[in-house]
Amino acid sequence: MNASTEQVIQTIQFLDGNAKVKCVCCDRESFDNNGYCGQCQAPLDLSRTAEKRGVPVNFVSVLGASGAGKTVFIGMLLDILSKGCHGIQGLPNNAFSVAIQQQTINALEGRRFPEKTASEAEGWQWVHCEVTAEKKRRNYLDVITPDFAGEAIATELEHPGTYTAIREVIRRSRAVLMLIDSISVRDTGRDEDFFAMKLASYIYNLRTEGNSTRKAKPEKFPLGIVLTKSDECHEAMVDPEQFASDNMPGFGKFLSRNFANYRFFASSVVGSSATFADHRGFFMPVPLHVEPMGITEPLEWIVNH
Amino acid sequence: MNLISRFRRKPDDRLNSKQRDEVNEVAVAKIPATEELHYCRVLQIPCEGQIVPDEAAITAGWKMLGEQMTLVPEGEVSLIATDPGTLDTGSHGIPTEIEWVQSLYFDRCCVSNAEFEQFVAEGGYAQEHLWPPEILAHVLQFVDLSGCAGPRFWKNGQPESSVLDHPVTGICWYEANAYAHWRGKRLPTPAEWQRAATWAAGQSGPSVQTRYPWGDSYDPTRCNTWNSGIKSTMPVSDYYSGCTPNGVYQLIGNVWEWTAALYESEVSAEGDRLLTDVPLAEIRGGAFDTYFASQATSQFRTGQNLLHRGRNLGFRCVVDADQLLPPTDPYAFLEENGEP
Repeated sequence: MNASTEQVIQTIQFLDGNAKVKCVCCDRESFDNNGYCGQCQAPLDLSRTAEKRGVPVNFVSVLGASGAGKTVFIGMLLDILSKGCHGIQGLPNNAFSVAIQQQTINALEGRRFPEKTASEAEGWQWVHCEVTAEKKRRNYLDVITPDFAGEAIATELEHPGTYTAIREVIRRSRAVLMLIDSISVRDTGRDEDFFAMKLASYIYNLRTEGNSTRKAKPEKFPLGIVLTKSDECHEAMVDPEQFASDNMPGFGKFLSRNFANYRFFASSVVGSSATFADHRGFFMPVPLHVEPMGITEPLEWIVNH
Repeated sequence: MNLISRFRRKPDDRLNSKQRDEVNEVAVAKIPATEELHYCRVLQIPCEGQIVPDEAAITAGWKMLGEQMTLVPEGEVSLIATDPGTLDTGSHGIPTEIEWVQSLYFDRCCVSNAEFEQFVAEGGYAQEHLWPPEILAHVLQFVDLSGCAGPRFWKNGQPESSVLDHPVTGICWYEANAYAHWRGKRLPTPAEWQRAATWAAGQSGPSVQTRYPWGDSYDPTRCNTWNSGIKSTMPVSDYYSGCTPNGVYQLIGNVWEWTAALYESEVSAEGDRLLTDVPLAEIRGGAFDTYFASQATSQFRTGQNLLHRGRNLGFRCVVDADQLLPPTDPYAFLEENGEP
């Protein structure tokens, strides 16, 4: 037996000795020695933890265009939940869930925004958090959400099937939080309106696949629309629904026709901000101080539903 | 002579905490009569040709001043640099700017809704001399929820009765300045504010300034920030345990405080700079919704739009010690203010 044959045999023996893990996101089975699912790139640690807990997993997707503030929102949400807020508490279930929280908090405390999420699925950070109502500890929700890159979401909307993870997570989600940059809505024409319509349409189609009477029944699962960065958009903060209705007419109409259970929220993380300009002409937004607002309310609304 | 203790207003130690709170409540909730608010004008050294106030007025003025303000002795303050290269160091930044601060009297508490109500009732928003010419057009827009002149979150020109003793919020930098001017006072500069808030650590010598009025460690029971879990303003005389040694309340937490200076970033040696869409004024101290303890310290510097009328932003006033007439009977004044 030569060396290469021996190596192949050893590999087979090794693989046989390892159980397969069913991906919590796409159901594909992968060998336990792999770090990530071969199909959707979800970390297998996530699937192992979910399997060990032996309870149904509830996905909550956080979606939005590039620059909508998904990473900051998720990181800040986790940090606030870990301290407990408004009667709900959330504890991360593994180290990779802490990573996004740590990166966001370290960046904001150092007056920076966290680095942009990589477009490739391998670079996304997944969050697995057990959310409980403090008064009813038995009523908990296992929240799983990846920090999708906005560019990947845009690509998936244009070419469905490109990113399996996005498709599978939305399909399995018990609720969706759609993040929309309120400053862009106010200042940059209808682009945000069109993107939101495409995303809502994508969600609706996935949720109603195989449903022959879909046109007759608006989708009932909770859809929270969060207008982010509203510290700089006073109108969004005062009345998010009215603001959306005034500035995103197409999206508003689509929602009222196709979704029965949606609600608008406004959120912000920064108290005031400036722009860093270096001597080479590079510009970067700088959060001068942090005062989160409206971060946990959308999740509370979901938990209550 | 014990300079600090003579100006300190500490609740009687023999009282229990509930009784102490009641004393504070009575002292602050009382809406001051309008004439009582103008003691600094009475005490200002008159210009040539102006009438010198009589002894009784000066005595009454010093009595009021002793109750509402405290002396901050002159001294040096080390300010943290604001150039973009050191922004991420926050309150741990290397002090690069040393400023000398003259002695001044500092409001013990932030201006309350009750105090600001007097300004509104006296037509402060209609007194042209209180506002800079370039802002006059905006003054008409400084209205409350019902469209009356006043702080943003009031109704019909009045605060809710439950928050009379809370700091006034929903006022922009110009409104804070107008009120201070009306009282014969002014806003503190950032260095003056920091001088009032930082105290040399007992063992460390005079050049080392503590991060908080009570020491270097954050303590959520001594101030109202995010970690305190209250999520709204509290009465201006709460948190006695967070006072400075000379009795200034809530320099940390509850509301950010406007200062007199603009928040302007220095240009770094490499030419890096911070740009803002609108001018910012420097604000200090952190508020009930300040998330990071490191951003609610005596040294942390940040800014806010001059026209911002936020729920977490208030102010307090100061007056220069050398601009006041001396007490007519200094010994009586000292006795009344705690000096044996």
